[in-house]
Amino acid sequence: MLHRDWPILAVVVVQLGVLVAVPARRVVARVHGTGVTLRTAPVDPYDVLSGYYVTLAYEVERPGDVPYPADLKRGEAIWLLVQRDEPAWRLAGVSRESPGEPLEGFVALRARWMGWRAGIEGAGRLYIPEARREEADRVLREHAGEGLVDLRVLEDGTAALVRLRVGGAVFGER
Amino acid sequence: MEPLERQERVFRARLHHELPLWRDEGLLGDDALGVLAGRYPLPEEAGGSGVALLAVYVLGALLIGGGVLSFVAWHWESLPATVQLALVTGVMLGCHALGWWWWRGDASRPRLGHALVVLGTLVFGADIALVAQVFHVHSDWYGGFGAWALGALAGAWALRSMPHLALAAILACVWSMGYAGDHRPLAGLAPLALAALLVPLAFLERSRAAYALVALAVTAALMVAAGAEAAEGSAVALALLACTALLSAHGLATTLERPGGLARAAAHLAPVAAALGVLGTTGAAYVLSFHEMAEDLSLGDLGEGGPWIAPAAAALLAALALLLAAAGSGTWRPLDHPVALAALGSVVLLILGMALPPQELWLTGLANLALASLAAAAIAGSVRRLERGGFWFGVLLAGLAITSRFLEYRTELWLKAVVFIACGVAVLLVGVLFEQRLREGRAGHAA
Repeated sequence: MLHRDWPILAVVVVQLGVLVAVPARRVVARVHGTGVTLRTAPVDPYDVLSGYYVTLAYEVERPGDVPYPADLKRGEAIWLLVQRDEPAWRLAGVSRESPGEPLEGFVALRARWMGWRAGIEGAGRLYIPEARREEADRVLREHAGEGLVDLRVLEDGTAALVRLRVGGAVFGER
Repeated sequence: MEPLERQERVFRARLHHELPLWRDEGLLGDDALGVLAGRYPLPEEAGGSGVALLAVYVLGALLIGGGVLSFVAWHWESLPATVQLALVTGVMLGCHALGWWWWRGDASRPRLGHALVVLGTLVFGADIALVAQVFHVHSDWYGGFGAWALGALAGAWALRSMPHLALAAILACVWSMGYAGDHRPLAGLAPLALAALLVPLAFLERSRAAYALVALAVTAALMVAAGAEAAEGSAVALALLACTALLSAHGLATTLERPGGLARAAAHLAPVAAALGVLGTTGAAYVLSFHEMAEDLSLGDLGEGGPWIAPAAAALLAALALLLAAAGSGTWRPLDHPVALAALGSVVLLILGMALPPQELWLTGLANLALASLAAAAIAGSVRRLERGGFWFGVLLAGLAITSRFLEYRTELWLKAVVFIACGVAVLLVGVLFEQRLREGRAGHAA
């Protein structure tokens, strides 16, 4: 049987392998990652909901009091070191190199420089079910896209989105 | 289809149906089966109606696959995520299992079974989208196409399935275009990987349709990669000319009649290569024949696209090596393929034009010369061999080139009128003469 059926078995193995590989790091991050809460910042208050997902940007991605490395190129990999705070974690440092194993109360997030702000890898999009699109659109508009996002982050900086909390509504939890 | 050819197809299809049974009964060993299957390869299509039937089934599979994708996009929240994943993955596995059984298991409905396996791979794409939704995976937009292409590629190679190969070529082309934009120093590697993974399969299967699709996908991906790298038309034109040179050389070189699998496959695919090479070169020459297009293109002005000279030079050297190998065979008759020969010469002219100073409009002049040589070769070749397609291609190309020049350059209206009327009369006259000669030739052949 194996002799005759190996072609289709090979196809199934490859396709299932891809399906496992696509979310693998996110699943590991959800299970073993450190919980981090970040405050979102509006990307475009007139277009917060693009089709079936919310485009997310975070306060810690925007250059402010914390100095950024000089001469960053668009698309260059950087690390955002965030420190525990309430209700959301805050930016503590930005570096080109991985900060290594962070101290207690700190987490390093992998990001890319987008030319005018950083973009945390894998945390820029939250899918919304069709049945809740109108509610999401209304709540996001009322709060100008500002809310709190719960993430799980691995030591290598891989971030997995868990949920978005805006004005008492919770999105993304499955 | 000729009766003899149909009998041959039926014989081969029957043989391929029987071979596994003979092996299972112990009449044949694997080695003998391999030799027989290689000596009498299954034609691309097991008869015209078979292709049509498979096409209809695949179309149905595409529509159902589109429906499943839309269903996933609808984000049916009433079901828990695990149930959704299990459901879509179950549909994918079910399509593969049932399709495989019908196709190669009891082989009772081979084409419907094949289409069902294709549907399984389409549902695999929907599964990727669902996984991305459930786990909020957001990577580069082309990443999903790359993952989907991997699954289709596995189907193309393991199952020797041409619909899978077509799907893999399209998906990998889209992935390559996105990858090129984000990975500039490595932009050219993606189309080369695409070629390395798909061209050998098209050769192994001797599928002209697959070869054409793969050649188009690789050429498009290379042009986009060159454009992303340099943001310069010169690099894009160079990438296109390199591809058309290789295709034209393939079309020309396989007049050699050597035994052996690769040479026979190359000879079988040569007409497609020649046609694509001629069409690509004609398109490039036509665009570059406009002075506004040509004045910005120069090999001396490649900017960041400078490294693209290396793969283009490699492609041209490969084309030259093909021609030398053909010339060494002793049976090479390049003049039997005058249009492919003219296309190869046109590529040389266009690259020469790009190497000369752009301000002096050498490129425009040489592009017009290339168009004229392509038209002349097509007309001369078709008159000699009494082929209608080549004749009308040449006549229409000549007419298009002349019309375009008179519209491009400001001349007196009376002169335009005279030239257009003369062109129209010439087309009618030579057309009537050619059709008359064609009829006489066919009558003589029948007698």
